[in-house]
Amino acid sequence: MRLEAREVTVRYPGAPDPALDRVSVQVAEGALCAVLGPNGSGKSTLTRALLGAVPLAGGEALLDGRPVAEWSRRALARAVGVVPQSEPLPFPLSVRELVSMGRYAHLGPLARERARDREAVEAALSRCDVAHLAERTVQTLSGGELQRVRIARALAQEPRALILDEPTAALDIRHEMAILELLAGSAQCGITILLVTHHLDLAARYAHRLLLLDRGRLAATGTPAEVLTPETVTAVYRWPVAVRTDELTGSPRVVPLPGPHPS
Amino acid sequence: MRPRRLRDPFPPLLLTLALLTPTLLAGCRDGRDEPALPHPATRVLSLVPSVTEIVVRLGAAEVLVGRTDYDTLAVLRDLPSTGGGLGPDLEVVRALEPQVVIAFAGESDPRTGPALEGLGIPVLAVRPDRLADVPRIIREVGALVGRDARAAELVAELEAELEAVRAAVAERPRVRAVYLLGGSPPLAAGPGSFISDLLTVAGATNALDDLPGLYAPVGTEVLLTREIDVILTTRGSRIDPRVRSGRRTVEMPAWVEIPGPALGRAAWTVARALHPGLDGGG
Amino acid sequence: MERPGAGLGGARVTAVAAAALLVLPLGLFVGAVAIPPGEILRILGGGGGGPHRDIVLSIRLPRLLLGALLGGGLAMAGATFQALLRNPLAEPYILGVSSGAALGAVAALAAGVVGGASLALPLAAFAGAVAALALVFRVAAAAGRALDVRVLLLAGVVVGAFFAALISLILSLSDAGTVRTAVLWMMGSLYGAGWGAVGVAAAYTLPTALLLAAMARALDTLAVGEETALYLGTDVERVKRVAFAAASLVTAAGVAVAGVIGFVGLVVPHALRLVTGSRHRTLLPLSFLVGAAFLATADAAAQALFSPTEIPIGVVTALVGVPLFLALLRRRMAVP
Repeated sequence: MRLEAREVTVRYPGAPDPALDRVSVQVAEGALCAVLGPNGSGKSTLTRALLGAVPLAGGEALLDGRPVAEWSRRALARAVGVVPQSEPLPFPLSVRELVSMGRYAHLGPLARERARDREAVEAALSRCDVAHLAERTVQTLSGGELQRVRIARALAQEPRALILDEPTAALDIRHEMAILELLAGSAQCGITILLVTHHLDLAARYAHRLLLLDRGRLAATGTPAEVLTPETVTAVYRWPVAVRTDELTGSPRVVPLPGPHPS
Repeated sequence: MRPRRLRDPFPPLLLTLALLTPTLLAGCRDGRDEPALPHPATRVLSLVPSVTEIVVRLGAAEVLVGRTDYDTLAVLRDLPSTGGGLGPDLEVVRALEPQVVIAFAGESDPRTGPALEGLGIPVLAVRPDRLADVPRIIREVGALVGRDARAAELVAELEAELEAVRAAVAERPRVRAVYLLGGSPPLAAGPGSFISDLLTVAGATNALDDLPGLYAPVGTEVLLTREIDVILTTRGSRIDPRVRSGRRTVEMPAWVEIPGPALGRAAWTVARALHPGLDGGG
Repeated sequence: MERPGAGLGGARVTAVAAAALLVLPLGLFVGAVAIPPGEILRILGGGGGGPHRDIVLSIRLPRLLLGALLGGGLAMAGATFQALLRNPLAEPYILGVSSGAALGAVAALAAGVVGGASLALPLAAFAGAVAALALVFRVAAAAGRALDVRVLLLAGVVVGAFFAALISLILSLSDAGTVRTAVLWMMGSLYGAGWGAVGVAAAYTLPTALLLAAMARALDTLAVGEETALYLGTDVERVKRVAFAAASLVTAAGVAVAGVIGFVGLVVPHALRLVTGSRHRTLLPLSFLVGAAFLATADAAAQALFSPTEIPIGVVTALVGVPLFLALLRRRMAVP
């Protein structure tokens, strides 16, 4: 599935500046694309714009060439699995129940669950290493476990694209690497991945393309090597950095330098 | 998908009408012919204590099949009780198999009448609010139980008593009075009430003749600044002591306030409270 | 920690449903007039006669069915509001329905239009309920956040308080009979329920119950979070509109017919979540059944405790509901 934003502008009510200002982005089918940028640069807004979850003040968002506005929510949910940054979850639910909600778009309001659906749920649970937690109450999980459960839910949708907003924020090395390898593997199977993250190095290692946002504008786009130059990163993040190439992986590594002396 | 502009979530007029249709249909069902009153009735249940008393005074106590918890006359003691007169137990009412039920009309008990009619029991709704209602009710009840002659006698006796009271106070100057029931601020009898009618018969004017409604709460300032000669109060009610100065205060028994066949005695009791040293009366 | 009901899910659901269905008809056997159970069963089967037959079929049965319909409707509405507002303390009157209905009823009583007409009071109460809801949604829309649940909650509290003040005003200017009737009405009562009332209640309750049940999955997703619900394929704004309208309607109809009966809509779904889980596919139907049984039983108690006088049913649901609710709250606090 191709994801595309053309000159997308988003304004939140009461905000002086646009959250996104004429941003154009193209993510090819099967690409793993990471969205980077400082806090408040519009990363989450970009994902919402692509999913039609926020009104556009200008421009248009397209999924597989069709404008998002023309997709029904159910069809969209069958095609794109989303892991938002957080959700309230006020009521006790089991892990299995939460992950099973990923199948609702396929089932509609009334159909009974089929073996097919249960299999999709089981597969998603295993791939995210949460199968052993299936009967636990979601509210009793650690932050990292909950994160993996939510990713499993998105996988249970059997989507053609995955959009994840900081999915590895609370995960330890083992689980973070496992998720990134899972995403990389999914991308190889043709699933388009859009990943919002703060981890510059891991993004550089796993992503085919990077999008760097700066205060609502697209600052740079291209391969990790193209985007992660010391000048660009220092300018966008407003902190001096150096960029080295990692010997083992061959991908760029950003090294923050000591800050400017307070005057 | 662009989020749609949010509309008022409530349905348009047509849908509202459709929603109200079940209620309206239910209303049509209830609007069918009310069961006819029997003539004369031999099995009567009265839920209005003053009417029960009228039935007894008409000499027709044997038609009564039940009573309420508020009926204290000795002759009724062995009758089964329906509980309160307002909201009587419907099962008990039905089990007593009355030919007619006499019930309070109006807001006091909006559900009982329709419920009884739903059970096929005719209802005679009465509203003993004012002095003039009592003779009318006596005649209605008399016709119901086939004691028309006795009813006419009773009405004549009552009217004679009232005339006697009027005559006794005719020579006296009219007293300015108020009648206070309990409460804080106290509830006062207004111009449309039975008590106000009694005051008029008993040779007084209601100093609160501009009160809205039958009974309304009245503050201390109003009671202090109005010209009042006599304050009549219900037994047990507390009146601000400042209000009493310069006025005579008399406590009245509770039965005086209830419109019923004893209104002649009530009128005499009020008259004697208003005019000390009054002769005559029962 | 094991989720309550995990592994035993189906068995628990069946047990709860069966218990509710068993308890539900007990009100038929309770009443001021003692009728032997054998005779009651015969009457239900078409036999029997005389006043006992009338008592069972024209007094007890419609009253039982009304209680069941109202209890079921309120419990389902409560579950729905809890999901929509993502708040386990939400209940059907949270958007001002009870204050609006009470204002309508009190206004009708004070204006003296009630009298013998059986329809004026419920219609006035229904109109009041709808007016309150419309006002709440307008207030929320004026704030620019038409179906934002936090704004709705606030608007509901504010409108409710305003209407309560108006009610106090009217009552302070009314005579004792009106005040007494109004107060008793506001405490809720199924007294005098006939088949007409059952018909009205069924007409409002059954279709909305089916509608809400059909939205079970959508409500599941909304209960997780609105953004998440959107991404899981739920048409969030449409579902909110329909669910709010349906739950409000069944609540308004319930209050119009029987006054303000509290705690059913709060305690029943809340307790069921702890026992059988939060999936609406089971929660909604179970809420209906348990709510029906709860209210029918409370009504039987309201009639029996001080027979032949009956106490307002709102009193019974509160006296039972509050300790139950406190127990649930303690249990809930123990679940992290």
